[in-house]
Amino acid sequence: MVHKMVPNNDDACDLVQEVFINLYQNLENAAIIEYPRSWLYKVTINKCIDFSKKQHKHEKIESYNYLKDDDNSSEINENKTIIRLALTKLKKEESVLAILYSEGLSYKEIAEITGIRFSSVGKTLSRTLTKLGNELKKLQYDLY
Amino acid sequence: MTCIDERLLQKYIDGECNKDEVIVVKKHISDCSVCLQKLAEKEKVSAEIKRAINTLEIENIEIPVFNYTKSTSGRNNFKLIIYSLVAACILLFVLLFVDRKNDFHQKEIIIVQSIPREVDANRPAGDQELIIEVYDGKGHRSEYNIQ
Repeated sequence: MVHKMVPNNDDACDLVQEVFINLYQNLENAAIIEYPRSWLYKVTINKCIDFSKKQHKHEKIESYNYLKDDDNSSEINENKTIIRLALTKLKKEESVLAILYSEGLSYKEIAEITGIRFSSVGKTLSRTLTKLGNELKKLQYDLY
Repeated sequence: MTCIDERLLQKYIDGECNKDEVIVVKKHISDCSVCLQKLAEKEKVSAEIKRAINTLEIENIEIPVFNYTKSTSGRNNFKLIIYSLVAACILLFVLLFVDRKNDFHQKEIIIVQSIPREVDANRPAGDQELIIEVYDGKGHRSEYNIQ
């Protein structure tokens, strides 16, 4: 999940670590986490968004270097960069929604994490996927 | 015949429809080739986008080990110090003031005013004799003769 939002491997690992430290602190302070799975996703998303904001101060989001993966294989790397670029073309909430969808979460979980009304998840998701599909096509990504 | 909206199609693809909705969608696509095509298209796009985004994932992610020292232990020590100080203050207050109050009762002073001799009515009031007797807590008597 973190890798889908943060390209650099070390940064992603650090963020996962931070998420679990956060969880540990919460459990230690006897905080009640009603839905741990959703909670973890929510904290992860927030951490990734904060990290991206900090990162943007130094590099432009569309800069190729920022979006580049550590993967050595050039073709795979190229495709990944295109997907990341397409995701950045969406609104933040939309890209988060698409990423959560790729994780195979239920609509109920997506609603809990994103705060979108349960009844609106299907509609928002449909719109987001269409938009992302169009962006990928624009970037000449071979969808199917 | 009203065609199925995007929302319902997406729900159907993701298996989020209830029984009634499933029946409606199935019945409709069996009659409507446009919606059937739309459904197939949407199904493909959804699956491909899922697959594409999942290629960004790296397996076997290594989370750095964290040696987490209890951050709250410092706070607990601080609390302990505060509680100890409060307890010490209460004890000090009791020792200084409550016990001292009892001492005051023990050191009671009684002042008795008396005029032992007959008053000479012909003399002015300032020349009259006045004796004041003072008894302290131990019963010692002191006499002050004021003229």
